[in-house]
Amino acid sequence: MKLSPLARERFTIFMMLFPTFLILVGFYLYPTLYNLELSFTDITLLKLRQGGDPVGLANYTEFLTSSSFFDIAINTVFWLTAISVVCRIILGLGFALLLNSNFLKRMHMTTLARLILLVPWATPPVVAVIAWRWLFDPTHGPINSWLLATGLISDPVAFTANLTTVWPSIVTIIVWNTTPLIGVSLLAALQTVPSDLLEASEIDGANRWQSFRFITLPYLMPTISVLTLMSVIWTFNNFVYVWLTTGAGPGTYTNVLATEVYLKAFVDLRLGYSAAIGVTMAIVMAAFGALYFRFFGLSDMQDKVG
Amino acid sequence: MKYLSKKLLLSAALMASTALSAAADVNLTFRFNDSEREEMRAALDEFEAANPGITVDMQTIAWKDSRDQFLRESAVGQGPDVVHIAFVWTQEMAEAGAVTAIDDLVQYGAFPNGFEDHIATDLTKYEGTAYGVPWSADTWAMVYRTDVLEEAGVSDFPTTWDELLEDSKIVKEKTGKTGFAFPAANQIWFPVNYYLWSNGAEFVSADGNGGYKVGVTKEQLVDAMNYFKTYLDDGLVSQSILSIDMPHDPALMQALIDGQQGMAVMPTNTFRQLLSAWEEANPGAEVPLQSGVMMGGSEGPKTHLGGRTLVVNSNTKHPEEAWKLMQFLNSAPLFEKYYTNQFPAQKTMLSEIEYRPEESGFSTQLAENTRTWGAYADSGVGVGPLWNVTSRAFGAALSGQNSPEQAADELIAEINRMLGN
Amino acid sequence: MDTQRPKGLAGLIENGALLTGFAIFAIFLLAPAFYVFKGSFENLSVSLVSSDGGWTLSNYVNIFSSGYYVYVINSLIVCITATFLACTISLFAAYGLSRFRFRGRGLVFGSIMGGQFFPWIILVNPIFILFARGGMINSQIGLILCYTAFITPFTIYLLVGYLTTIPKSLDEAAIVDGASRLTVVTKIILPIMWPGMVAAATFGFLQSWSEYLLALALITDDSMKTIPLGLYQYFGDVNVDWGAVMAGSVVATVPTLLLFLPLQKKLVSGLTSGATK
Repeated sequence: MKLSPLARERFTIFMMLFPTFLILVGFYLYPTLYNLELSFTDITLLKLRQGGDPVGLANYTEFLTSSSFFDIAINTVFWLTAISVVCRIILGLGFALLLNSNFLKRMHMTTLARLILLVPWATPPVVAVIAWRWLFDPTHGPINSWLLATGLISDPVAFTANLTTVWPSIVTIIVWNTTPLIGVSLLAALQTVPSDLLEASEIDGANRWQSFRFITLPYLMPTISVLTLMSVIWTFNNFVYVWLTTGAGPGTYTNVLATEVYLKAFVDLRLGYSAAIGVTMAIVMAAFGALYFRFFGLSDMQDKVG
Repeated sequence: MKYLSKKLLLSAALMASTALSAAADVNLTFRFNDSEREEMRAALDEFEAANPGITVDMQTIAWKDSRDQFLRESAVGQGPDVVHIAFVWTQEMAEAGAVTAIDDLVQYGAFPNGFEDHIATDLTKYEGTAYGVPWSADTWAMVYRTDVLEEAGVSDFPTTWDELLEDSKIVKEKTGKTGFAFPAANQIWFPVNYYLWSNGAEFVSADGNGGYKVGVTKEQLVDAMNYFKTYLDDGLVSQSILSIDMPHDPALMQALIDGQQGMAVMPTNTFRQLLSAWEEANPGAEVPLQSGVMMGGSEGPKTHLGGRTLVVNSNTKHPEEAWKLMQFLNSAPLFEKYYTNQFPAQKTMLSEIEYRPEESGFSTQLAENTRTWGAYADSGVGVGPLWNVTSRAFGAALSGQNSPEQAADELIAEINRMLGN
Repeated sequence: MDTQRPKGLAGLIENGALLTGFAIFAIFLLAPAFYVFKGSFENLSVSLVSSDGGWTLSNYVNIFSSGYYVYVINSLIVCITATFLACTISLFAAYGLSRFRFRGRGLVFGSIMGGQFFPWIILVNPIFILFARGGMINSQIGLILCYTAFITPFTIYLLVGYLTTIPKSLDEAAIVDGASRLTVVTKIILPIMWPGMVAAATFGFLQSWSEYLLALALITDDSMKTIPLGLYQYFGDVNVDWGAVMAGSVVATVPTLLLFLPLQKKLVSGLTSGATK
C-alpha cells in the first residue's frame, strides 16, 4: 500500500508519539481520574474490596475547613517550598560565582568543586536525612559540639525538636541534597556570559555589582526561572524530607500537604480523603505553573507549546 | 527456654503424620517481618524437610509498611499465604476480609495445647470469630542504669510516676545527668497510656450500654500532658526527645550505653539489643543495666500486652498446607531453636521460660501487669488511628505548639469524631 | 578580565575570602557524606557511636553475605532499563513535538508538563491495582514500566528544549536527500543530541534509583527487591542495624557517583541547554 506523503508524515508523527501517549494515559490520566473518583467517596484501605460510598464533596470540605488546613498550607508554601527554593537558588548562585572567579579558576578548583558537588547530588534522600539528623543531635552531633566550643551557644540546641529551629533544619537538609543541581547549572550558564561584554562595562566604569546586576544576571535569568519552576514542582510534592526528618512533628508543627497525604493514605488508611488532598495539590500546582508561564514569560517555553 | 521432651515428641509426631498426607508440590509464601531472617529460614528448611511436597518462600518487608501492603494485596486477590502481623491489626484485617477465620482452618488439625492456650485471643476476634493465632508476646518495662542511680544516691527503683519525676530531679541535681528520658514523638503513645491506665483513665471505654465513650476527661489529659511536659520545662531531659520516635533511637541508646541517662522505658527486644551492645563495648564487666516494672499512679502499674499474630490470607489456594505451617510456627521447637529472641504467646510455654536476671522486670511486667487495648479495638476506632492523633496532640502540647488545654480539647473532639459521637 | 584583578593587600584579602568561602561550601557539602562513609567502617550496633573506635569491614561483609548485592544488581537492571526506555521514547516524542505542528500538540505538551504536577504518593494505590489485575506484581518488567513512565515527562521536556537548539535545516536537508525520519533521528539528530541524552539519562537514573513507595507496593519477592527496599529492611520495629544502614547507604551512593564522574561535563551542558532553551 502506498501512502501519500502527508499521510506518511502523519503516520510518522503518530508512531513517534504513540509510546508517550500510552504512558500518559496509563500512568497519568487513568490514575488521576481514578483518584478523582475516589476523592468523592469515603473509601478506606479496609473497604477496598467492596468499594466506598459516594460522599459528594465531603472530603474536600472536611480538608479545606479543618483547623489544621491553614497551618499545613503555610508550611507547604512558605517553609517547604518558598524558603527552600530561594535558599538553594541563592546558595547555588553563590557557589557558581565563587567557582567562576578568576582566582579559583587559576587554582584549578573547578574540577575539584564539581566532584564535591556530585557527592550530595548522588546521595539518596533517606541517607541524607540520616546523616543530617546525626549531625544535628544535641549530645553527639558535631554541630552542637562546635557551637558550644566556639561559645555561640551555651546549651545544646535540639535542632529538629525546637519549634524555632525545626524548619531551618529541614530546609538545610533539602538545600544540601538539591543545591548541587542548581550550582552546576548556574555555573554552566555563567560560562556562557560573553567576557567582552563584561570588559566593555568595566571600561565604561561600571563597578562589579553593576556588571553583575546588568550583564551577568540577565544572562542567567532564563536558567534561574526554569530551575525555580522545576524546584518548586519537585519540592511542593515531596514528602520524603519532612517525613523522615520529623514525621511532620513535633506534634503537627511541620506537617505539609504531602505528609498529610501520606498520613491519611498510609497511616489512617483513608484513601478517599487523601485522594481529595492530592487532587487539591495537583490543582494548586497546575495553577502555579500556568501563572508562572504567564508572568515570567518564558518565551521559549511558549514557543515550544506553540 | 526449657521444654518438656514429651511435647517435643508430640509435635514431631504431629509433623510426621501431616507429612504423610501432604499432596503434590505446593509452594507457600510466608511473610516474616522481624530481623531474625536467617534463623527463620533455617526453621523453614526444617519444616520443608519434615513435609516433603511443601516448599516455603520467605518474604520480608519493612514492618511499618507491612500493614497497608498486605491490605492492598489482599484486596486484589493476592499476597502471601501466611502473614506475620501485629496483634492489633488482626481485627481490621478481618474487617477488610483479608484473612481466613480460624474455625475454617482447625479442621486440618489442632494445636498441642489448644487455641485457648494462647494469650490475647480477644484481640484476634472480629464479631466473635477468631481470625488469627497469637504468635509472640511482648510488652514495655522500665530500664535502669544502676550505677547512675547509685551515683545520685537513689537506692530504690521508683514505683510511682511522682517518684520517677522526683528521682529524675535528684539525678539531674546530683550528677548533672539525665534521669528519665522517653521518646516524645510517635511512640509517646505507650508511656501516655501507661500513665492514664495507672490513674484510672483510658482513651476509649465501654459506656455500659453496649456503646463506647471517651474514657478520659480533659483534666486527666491536661494532667498527663503537664506531667511529661515537666521533664522538658524543668530541663530534666533534652528537648531533642520531641523529635525522637522510638525507644531504640540511637541518641537514647547511646545515652544509656554511656551512662549519661539513668532511667528509660522500652520493649523487651530493644532491651536485649541494649544489653548485648553494652556487653560488646565492655566485655567481662558487670552489667549495670536492670529492668523493672512500670510506674503506678492512683492505681497499680499497667502496660499493654503486645505481640504478633499469624494469619492465613483469605486468598490462599492452599489453606491446608498454610495451616500446617502455622502449626509448625507455633510449636515449641521453633521458639527453642530458632525464634529464641521472642516470647511465645502461649501460656504453657510462657510459664517455662528462663529469663536472665536483668530481664526480671520484663517477666514480672508481662506476667502480672499487662492488659490488652480492649475498648480501643472493640469500639471499632482501632489502635492505629488513636495512636496517631494522640502522639500528635502530645507532641503539640509538649513542644509548645499548643497549650495542653487546647491540645486536650482537640484530642477529645477527634476521638469523639472517630467514635461517631 | 585581568584589568579588574585587585592588587596587593586588597587582592590577598579577596583571594583569602574566596578560598574561605570555597572551604565552607566544601565542608557543608561533604561533612554529612563523610559521616556516613566513616560510620560504614565502624562497629555500630544500636547507636551511631562506634563501640570500640576501631575500623572494620564487618558491616560490608554482613550486608553482602545477607544478599545486599542482589538488590544492587536488581536496582541496576531496573534503573538502567527504565532509563534507556524512557530516553528512547523521549527522543522520538521530543523530535515529534519540536519538528511538527499538529492539532493537539499543545495539549500533549501540556499533559507532559502536568504529569510532573501530580504528587506521586497518591498514584501508588491506583497503579498497584492496575498492575495487580494485569499480573505484574513481583515482576521487574512492571517496575521498569513504572519507572519509565515516572521519568518520561521530564526527559521529554529536557530533550524538547535541547532539540530547539538544533537547526531544523539540518534534518530537512537530509529529508530532501531521501532519508527517512527514522534515519534522521538515529543518524543525524542523536549524535548531536548526546549531551542532552546524557543529562536526561542521568536524571532518570537518579530519580528511579532512590524510589521507594512504588517499589514497596510492586515488589515483595526478596530476589527482586531494589536497593531502597533492602536499605529500609535494616530499620526494624524495635531496633535498627546502624552498621548495615551506613554500609548499605555507601553502596547505594557509589554507583551513582561512578556514573556521574565520567558524564558530568556532558551532563552540565545538556542540562542547561535543555532546560533553559
